[in-house]
Amino acid sequence: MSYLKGPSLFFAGEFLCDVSTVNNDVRHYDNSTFEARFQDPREGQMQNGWWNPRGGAIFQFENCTISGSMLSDGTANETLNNFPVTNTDDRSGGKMVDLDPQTQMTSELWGVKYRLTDQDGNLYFAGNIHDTGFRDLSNRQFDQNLNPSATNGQALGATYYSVIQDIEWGDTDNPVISELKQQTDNNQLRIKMTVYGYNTKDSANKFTIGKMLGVVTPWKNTDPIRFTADRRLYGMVQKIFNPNTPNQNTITYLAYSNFDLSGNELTVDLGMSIPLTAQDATVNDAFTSFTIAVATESITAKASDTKTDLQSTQFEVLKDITIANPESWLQETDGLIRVTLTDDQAAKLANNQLLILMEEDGKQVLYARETPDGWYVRADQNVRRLDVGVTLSTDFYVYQWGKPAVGKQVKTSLLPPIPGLGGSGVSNKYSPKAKIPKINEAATGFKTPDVSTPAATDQNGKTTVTLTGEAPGNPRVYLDGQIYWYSYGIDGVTQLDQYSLDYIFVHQRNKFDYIDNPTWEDVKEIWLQFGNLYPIMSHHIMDFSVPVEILKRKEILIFAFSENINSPLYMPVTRDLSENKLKTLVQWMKITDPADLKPIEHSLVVAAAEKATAEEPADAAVEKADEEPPHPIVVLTRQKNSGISDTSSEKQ
Amino acid sequence: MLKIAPELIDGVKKASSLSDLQHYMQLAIELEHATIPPYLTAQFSIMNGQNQKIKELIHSVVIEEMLHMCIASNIVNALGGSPQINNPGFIPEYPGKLPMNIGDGLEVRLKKMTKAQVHDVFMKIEEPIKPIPIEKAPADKMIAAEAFVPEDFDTIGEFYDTMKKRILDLGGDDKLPGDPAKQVTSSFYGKDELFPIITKEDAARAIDIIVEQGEGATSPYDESGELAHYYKFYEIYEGRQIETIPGVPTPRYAFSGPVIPYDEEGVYNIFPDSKVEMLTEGTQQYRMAKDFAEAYNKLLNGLHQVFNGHPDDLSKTFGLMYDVKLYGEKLCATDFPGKDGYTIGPPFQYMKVPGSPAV
Repeated sequence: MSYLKGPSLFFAGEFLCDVSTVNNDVRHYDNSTFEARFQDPREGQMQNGWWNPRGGAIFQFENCTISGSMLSDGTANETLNNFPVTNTDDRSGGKMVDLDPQTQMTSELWGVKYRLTDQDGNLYFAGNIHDTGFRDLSNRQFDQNLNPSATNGQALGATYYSVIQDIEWGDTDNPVISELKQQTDNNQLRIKMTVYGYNTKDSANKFTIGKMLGVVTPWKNTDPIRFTADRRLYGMVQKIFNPNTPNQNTITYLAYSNFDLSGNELTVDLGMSIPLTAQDATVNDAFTSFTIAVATESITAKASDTKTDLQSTQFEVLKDITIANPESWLQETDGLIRVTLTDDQAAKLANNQLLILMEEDGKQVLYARETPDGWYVRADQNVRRLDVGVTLSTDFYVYQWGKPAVGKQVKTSLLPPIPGLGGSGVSNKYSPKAKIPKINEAATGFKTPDVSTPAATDQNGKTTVTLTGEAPGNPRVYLDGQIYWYSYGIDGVTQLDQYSLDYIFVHQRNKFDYIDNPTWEDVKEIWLQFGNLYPIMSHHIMDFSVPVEILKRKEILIFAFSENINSPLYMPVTRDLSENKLKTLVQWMKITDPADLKPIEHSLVVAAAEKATAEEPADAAVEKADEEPPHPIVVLTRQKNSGISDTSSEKQ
Repeated sequence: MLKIAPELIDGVKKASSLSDLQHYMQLAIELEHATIPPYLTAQFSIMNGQNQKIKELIHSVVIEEMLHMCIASNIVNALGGSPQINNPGFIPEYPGKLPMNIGDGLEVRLKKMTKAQVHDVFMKIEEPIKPIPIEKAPADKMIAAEAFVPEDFDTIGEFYDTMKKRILDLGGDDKLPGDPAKQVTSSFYGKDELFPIITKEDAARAIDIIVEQGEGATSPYDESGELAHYYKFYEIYEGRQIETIPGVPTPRYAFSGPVIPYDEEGVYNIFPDSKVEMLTEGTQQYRMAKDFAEAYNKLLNGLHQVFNGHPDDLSKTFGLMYDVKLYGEKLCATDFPGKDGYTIGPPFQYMKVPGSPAV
């Protein structure tokens, strides 16, 4: 069911996300060329360890409160207003984690809890947010010329769709809570969060803080977990920067919005798409007056930097909207627009496209539209960690005009090899010396994962694809496994709008045989890589490059390495070790006597840096760097049928 | 000599039932906990990679103080009580006196690592009834080190001793009244250190561990051969490790071991007794301090749950212990706005965690 109807809790506030950024550059995974300065913040032309090298991946809500709520009959309810929304009061917070340095655009939440209480701490409900990654990542902040720009350093925003599981209900007869409890299935609630306005400027008071809007509603057994069964609007007006260069950057206004039509009630979620200001990520005044309309013929125009204007015969106005107090509207309603339609309007919208138009120079410019014929397909488990020989499932759901589409065939396709992914976008004499590996290809003579052909969709519009891990042959050389991106579509549907990164992202791990009696040599490169990439550990907990230091704390490490992957205490935090590698590390800690180790006088990080410097004089390093082709910021400018695309240069 | 309020020992002596003792063991939990903030503040103030041995010594004491807090909580549970770990009064005010008015007005402050702080505060807190003299190096000179001369014996050691006797007196031959399912153990402490307290003998044995690890008994070393806290701090103060003098009939000890280097420059100059409210709301520094205090209070909330019927959840609080360390060390490396030359000390203070029940 849609999250845009039924009993709803709206909350707003901020989030803290202290991600580590040494691992933002894939080349930092190469132990042999790692330099000590990659653990320092960037400085001038030196990207070093980017903007937060000492980050620790913590994710938690900050100052979040209930901003409003609604009963299932649509009436507003204020009984819960200003109640604190927190994560836990007696545990550490959750984590935000990337699948891989070459897949940073689907950052996942792990081990995050949701807790609603009154001001005195009396529990209303609490539960665990299911792991989920960014969806619908798009530029949200724009300057006066509507160029993407953010004083806070990160103009992108994204949406998290998930469920709150294993709910513990408080003893309350609050009507909103009672309806939620009564109407949801399986003791889990839908949660959708919009994150934006994230601050990457280390001098700012809000450094590593972003803004957050959220809504909690019932969930049904037939619903997906990591997205919602809603109808969708796609942005049609684009702006292209640096055309004809590798750094080409295309942005789309009002990129992705969900909407729902239930009975005569139309609800459009613009909180996830409305352009915001560069200065402080409040609603951009340029987008507060628009028209919501229904198409009277199929509108097939594609997203473009040339605007499309529609003739009055092509649409019928549903409502002219002017948002009077845009920031209050955004914060208090999660950015929802609600319109009660006439019977006739609702009947038309049931199987015709919704449109957003803005009047410019007397013309009705098409800013957003639904996919022609109302198709929607999405993968639920879209971020996969795949070991060799293991089979994982990914469920797909196909909808048309918001209803399950039965008997449809989903097709998947591995993208062609992509070079240059996961660099800093800056190429100069300070760039890391390692080469950036390509993704989407196994080493010569090795296979990519085996992907099944799914059955036709069932009565819920659902079908399942399996992926079976195949040894990739270590194609990336200095970091484990390979990254595969699979696009997908609906067989026979030629015009299908999709989020530009609607892929299944797979980290196929290398084949690694468990070692029963491992030595330091067997595990050294793995530990050293952690030590290089996460200086927060060496500065505050232990230096992973020194085996004696690891063994001093082996009890707590074995504990963390043996936790359930959903635990906020799970290590490695990045969740990027194959099961056999992880078990081998644990076994090494269990069986190794520190007395048997050769003395290591100082950190291997320093040793590696010294070795690199000794082997290669600075001049040679410069020459080598100059030979490298320029690194595209990030290759995300895939033109789909809709032509929608987005570009990101940094992860959030 | 550290004294405690005599009426406390009187109260223990006069207790007519095990439940009468719960209140006094609750005070012991509070006392054991109250030593942790000053020790951790000193530990966090040491820069990364500097004064490593000192840092390790202080850290090893903190680990045992946490153990003592767990033992005292287990005893409260064994006596049929409910340990109270997260109420607003649980964390002492710093600067201020320790619980039980221990030390007859000894003012404890949260200050950076200095030899003065170790000598004047840490050694005083841990001081035995009769410190064993440690001779100054070189060992062959046999100069007796200065020792504190005890003036009277109302010490925390005597408090525990009285408590032990009273539990043995009042406890029956059967199990103690508390619910054994509430007893907390952990694989991170030895089975001979943190064990379920089911009988009065278990309680007596547990109290011995607290006293031996803190003050030492007939030797500076506890049963496992580890130096008692007082002597660990004494080592830091003297800058040399303690060794047993070989070839003498009666055990004697000297600061004849390896040097424990101390570099003042390797310590952040944290502002003493830093508080969240000393910083300006809305600034990054304020948030960092608030995050620290919040993590610390969450940890106390978590431990409260652990000792009130959820013993298996102890491991779930480990993350917060690391958060406290991480946030604390980051603060110590952060300049204190408006206080030239100082960095921010970890604010060990009560803070109601949003969404936590009122206590």
